[in-house]
Amino acid sequence: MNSLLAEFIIEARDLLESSNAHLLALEKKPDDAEAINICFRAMHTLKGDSGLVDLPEITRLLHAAEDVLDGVRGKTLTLGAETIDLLLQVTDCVSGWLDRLEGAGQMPSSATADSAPLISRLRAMLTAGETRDGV
Amino acid sequence: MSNQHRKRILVVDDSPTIRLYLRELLTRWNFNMDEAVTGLVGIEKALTARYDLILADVNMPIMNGYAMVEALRREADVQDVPIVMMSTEAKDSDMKRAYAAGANLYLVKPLLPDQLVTYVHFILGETA
Repeated sequence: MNSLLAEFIIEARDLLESSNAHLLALEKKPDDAEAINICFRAMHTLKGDSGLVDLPEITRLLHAAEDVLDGVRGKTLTLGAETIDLLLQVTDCVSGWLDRLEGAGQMPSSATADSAPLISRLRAMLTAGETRDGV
Repeated sequence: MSNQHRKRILVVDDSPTIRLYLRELLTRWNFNMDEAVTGLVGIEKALTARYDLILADVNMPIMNGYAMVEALRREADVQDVPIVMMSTEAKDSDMKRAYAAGANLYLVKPLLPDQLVTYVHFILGETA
């Protein structure tokens, strides 16, 4: 594994761990602007980094998650349990890919198909303009 | 090229992956690279050492890239140092905000190594 990919995996694990902790905190306090910002920045940074190490499946998934969190930041979307659960599924999916990258040195061949339903649900939230479950 | 004649570039980015990428790239191109992990550290470094170029991320915790560039442009010693802002955001509003803050150039990531070196030499007034 090259040094850049190794550094990416370390950084990605840190950011995903931070995102998970803050998403769980947001379940109890969904209007915590700082926690929302931290999650947004984590997705944004990882999206950029994944482009650099040429992992387009991660870039696409995190781009959709970042857009949802940006909507929450801009108050065009409300953050409810369904949204938080979906974002946790995103971090879980990316964590699994990191395990695969570390172990096998490559993304699973099913990555695009596996993430497609998550991306569709995230994009549907954006299209709807607000989450159905609200606060 | 001797070390003392190499151009000095300050990279301000909170991502260790990006900093490693730029460190490897800029060193290979015979630049001396220094780095800062936040906008505040970037200001501190830019005010205590002379750099030929500052490469700054936009989205950073505590102080974002726009605020850092605005603060640097208020400092007489840094007013003429070229600043290139880099972001994954390609919206016009982001570019306008970067130029309003005082950036000389706004680049959308990711960039191919050859593209980046071309821009760096261009902004330094050199031929690649």
